[in-house]
Amino acid sequence: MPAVPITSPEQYEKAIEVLTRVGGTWQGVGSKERFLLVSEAQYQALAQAKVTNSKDTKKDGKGGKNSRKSARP
Amino acid sequence: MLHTLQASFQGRLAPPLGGFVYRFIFLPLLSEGKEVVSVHQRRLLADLFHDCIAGYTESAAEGHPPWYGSWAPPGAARLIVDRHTLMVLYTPQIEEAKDFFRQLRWILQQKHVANQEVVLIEHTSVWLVEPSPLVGSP
Repeated sequence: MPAVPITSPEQYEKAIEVLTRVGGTWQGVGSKERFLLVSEAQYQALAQAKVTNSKDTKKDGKGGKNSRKSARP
Repeated sequence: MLHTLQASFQGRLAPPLGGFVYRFIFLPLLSEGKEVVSVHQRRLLADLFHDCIAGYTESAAEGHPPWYGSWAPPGAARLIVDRHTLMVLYTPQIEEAKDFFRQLRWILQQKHVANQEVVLIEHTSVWLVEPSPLVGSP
């Protein structure tokens, strides 16, 4: 599950705009460092809208310190 | 007003990953097709939930399937139809969590904030299942 890092309020709002138009659910995780855990289809929509790019996206939300294990439900 | 709430509850409502927790679900997004909570306000809510609860799950407002709800206030000539997004949040089972959502509901019902006549927030006690080793595994 791709994890999209949130870097600014403006990027967050753009992400919400895009995700509103794509089906499904997403998760916002983290307190200080924030990520959106999204589906592949949602990720593609975010990439097309230039909200994120493959360089800063963890394709698998597992493993990092913001992994699902440490994230809240 | 959200900043006041944020300052009061910052870092205090992150849930355990197993055991008893509270689950809160809300909120209406569109009323009869008219946007009630803007993208900007949803981002402010997301900030609040990151800061105080360490995360949330949200459904796409125009997702599949969409969520609809209708209600008839006293004296209304016809039903009001709300289109819902759904935000799901888990907190520890402490009174503070209920206070947090009571105050959030009050804020969202203010005319100059979201101007929601009624904001419904569902509150239930749930158990988050802990992992258990696979029976029969070496």
